[in-house]
Amino acid sequence: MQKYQERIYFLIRRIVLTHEDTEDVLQNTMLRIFNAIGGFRQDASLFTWMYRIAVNEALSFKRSKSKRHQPASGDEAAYLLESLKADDYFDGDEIQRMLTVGIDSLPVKQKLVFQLRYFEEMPYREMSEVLETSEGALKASYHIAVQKLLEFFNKK
Amino acid sequence: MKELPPKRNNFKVPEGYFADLPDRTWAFIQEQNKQETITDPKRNKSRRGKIISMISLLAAAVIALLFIFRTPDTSSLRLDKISNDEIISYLEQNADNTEIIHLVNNGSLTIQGEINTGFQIDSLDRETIELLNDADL
Repeated sequence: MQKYQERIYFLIRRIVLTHEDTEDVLQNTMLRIFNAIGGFRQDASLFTWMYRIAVNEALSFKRSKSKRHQPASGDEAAYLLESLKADDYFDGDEIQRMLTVGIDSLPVKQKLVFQLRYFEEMPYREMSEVLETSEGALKASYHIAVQKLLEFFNKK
Repeated sequence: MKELPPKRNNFKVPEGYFADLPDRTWAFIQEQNKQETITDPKRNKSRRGKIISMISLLAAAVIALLFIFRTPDTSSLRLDKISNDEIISYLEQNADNTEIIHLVNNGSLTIQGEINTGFQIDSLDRETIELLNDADL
């Protein structure tokens, strides 16, 4: 579990974005993994199984947080850009901030596919186990995600 | 723009964060599981406590069943234990004419002697008196 913690941390971080939120989600993820390890059926690799738990925890957290905190202006992208600018633990320039905001604006499945492929360089075969989606659908999803991000950059 | 920006990990962590992450995670897991044990009373009960609880529940069920199926004691309801004066007094205070006629007709009440024995004549209306006089007593 220790050797996977760092990878799982950044997987979660790319979804929830802030270090503080990632810390909370990571701890809950590890707790779930620990308590559920007895039920691990070995029909997938251990890492794939842990990744799946982490993704579910991160998405649940993000859903509940977005219900609690809605940007007053309704422009979530602008709000997020400003948040990243003010975040001491975000080390990117404006292009990187825009890329982060663009990824965050993608539909959930596309966002996950893009992050796993682009940042983790995860093979589609493995990704198929994590997201329980066919490889063909994942490839299509990644292609659409890239197109949307390019449109997002060109609009801005 | 025709290509996405170069890939970078822009997310930083506090210094030394990953070094002690396993210890902190383990402490968190232990704390959470300990709290679950404390707040879940079912998990706290010892075997002896469980047995005592089951016995108490069984005893309560037996007592409840005894109450439900208890045969009512009707000995106090025997009329031959009650004096005529008490019966008359009760009827005068509580029974109306219809009930008296019914009691007479079904044999629960027998009037001996004149109809006005033990009854106040003015407490019965004329129709009732006629009915009582006509009854096969």
